[in-house]
Amino acid sequence: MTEFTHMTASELGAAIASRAISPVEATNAFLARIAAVNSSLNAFVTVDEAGAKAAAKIAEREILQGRARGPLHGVPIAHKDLYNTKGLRTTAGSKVLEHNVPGADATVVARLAAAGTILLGKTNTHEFAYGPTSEVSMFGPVCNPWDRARISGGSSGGSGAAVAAGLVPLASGSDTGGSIRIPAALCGLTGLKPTYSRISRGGIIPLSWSLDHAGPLARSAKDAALFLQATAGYDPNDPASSREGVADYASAMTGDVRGLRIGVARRYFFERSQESVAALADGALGVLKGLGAELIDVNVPYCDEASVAVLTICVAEAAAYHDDTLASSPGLYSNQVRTFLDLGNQLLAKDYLHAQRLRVLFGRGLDDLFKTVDVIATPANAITAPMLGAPNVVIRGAEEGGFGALLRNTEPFNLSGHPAIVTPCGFDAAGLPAGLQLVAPAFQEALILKVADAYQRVTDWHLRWPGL
Amino acid sequence: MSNRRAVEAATLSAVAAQIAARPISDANAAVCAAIYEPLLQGLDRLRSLPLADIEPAVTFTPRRDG
Repeated sequence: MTEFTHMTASELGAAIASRAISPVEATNAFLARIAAVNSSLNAFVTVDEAGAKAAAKIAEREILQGRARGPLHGVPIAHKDLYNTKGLRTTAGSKVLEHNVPGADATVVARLAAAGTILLGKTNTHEFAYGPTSEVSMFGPVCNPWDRARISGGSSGGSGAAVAAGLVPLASGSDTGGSIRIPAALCGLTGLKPTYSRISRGGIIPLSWSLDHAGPLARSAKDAALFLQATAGYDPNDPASSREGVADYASAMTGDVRGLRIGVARRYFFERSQESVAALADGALGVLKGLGAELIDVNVPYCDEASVAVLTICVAEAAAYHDDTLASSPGLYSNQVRTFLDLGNQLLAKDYLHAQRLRVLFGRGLDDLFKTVDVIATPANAITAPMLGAPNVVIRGAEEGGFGALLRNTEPFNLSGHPAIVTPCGFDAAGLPAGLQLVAPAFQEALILKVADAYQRVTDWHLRWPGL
Repeated sequence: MSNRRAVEAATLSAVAAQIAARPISDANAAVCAAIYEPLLQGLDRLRSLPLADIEPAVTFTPRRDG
């Protein structure tokens, strides 16, 4: 591995801006890394070598001419194969879209291209983002760089594995029940799910219109902030897109968390996570307390019901989206995704509406909590990465389904739409990474980015590398 | 409280074929029933929450310019 592929996106962007590294050198280094390592991970499903090299030459010329576009100019990036990319195949990991070549970029893709990023290619995903493991894809399963016998998490598992292994410094993901934050936790990365409507969903193949969020998988909170800065803001191509003003995220990252009130969600989140995972999250909270934050135990109400509501909404909305294709080409779907879609055909409209009512109740409960604390903290995931192919996991001696365990700590905040970030906070006895999740009131991404950055300034878990 | 009966694979198969016009295999119906029954139990629990005065988070906003 060259030193380029060890750099964070922020470091690489700064080096490119200062002309210490050219975009062409950086792009070639990552392309070489992909060629050497990707076959053992299955993280990238399409590599656009010619397109990347051409874009890098343009970026190099612009920078040499003094026409710098900003901190991501010349930085390589990858997009989840759920994001439409003009002229570049976009499959959603499904044979249904095996030959789909979009005619236009997703809004996020276009905005990051305008910021000067270099698109290396597309990353693997659980089929149509409909699962948290990234095992079910027409391209085969994604492997975790920390242990290739284990899952990378999902559904943005290709992006997670690619960033963790140094195949690309920054990648996009989408998060319907945790699909950014789960691979971030399982691969030792920073993952940000902004407030619902903060980043446009325009041009991203939907799983569930009212639960889908776009965001980054990154090596640091600073890198996640760069992605957010480049992509946040109103977009007429997303009917839910917010007109809320966009903050200056970088300037908010002061490292100062003195007096910050952190609500520690013991019930449901800590109590139903593996002991080692909960202990690592507790250790991270101890670090933040040492920086001057105050820890306050809180109870997030209606979490069990929230998981039922998320499943109901997701199943119903996905079934509606796939209705025509499921009727015409059922054999093109994997058995797993087809089963979920079949399930959606059995739900009643009133069940969906009851779930959308619970959504309001759950959100109000969280907003009430935020009158007493500034952020809420949970283990990012209840477990570290399970073995590939294992349907069940064991938590505190009890066996349960892997899907439910993987989604448990993240999906409540898809229901509420609150912003949430994951930062790496250590490794278990098997050498697998775990994360801390921080949740803030709506549109306060700057606050959780600041807290995650403050933690990363005094720890180095986010800088560890798997031995690949 | 709900007075519904537990979901069975045969019921799911019949609903899928006759109402949704999406025939599914017996094996798939059994898998669906195994997922569906706990989901419906969860929805029953959800109904016991204080939802009476809450409108669902589904909104329609007319636009002057279409």
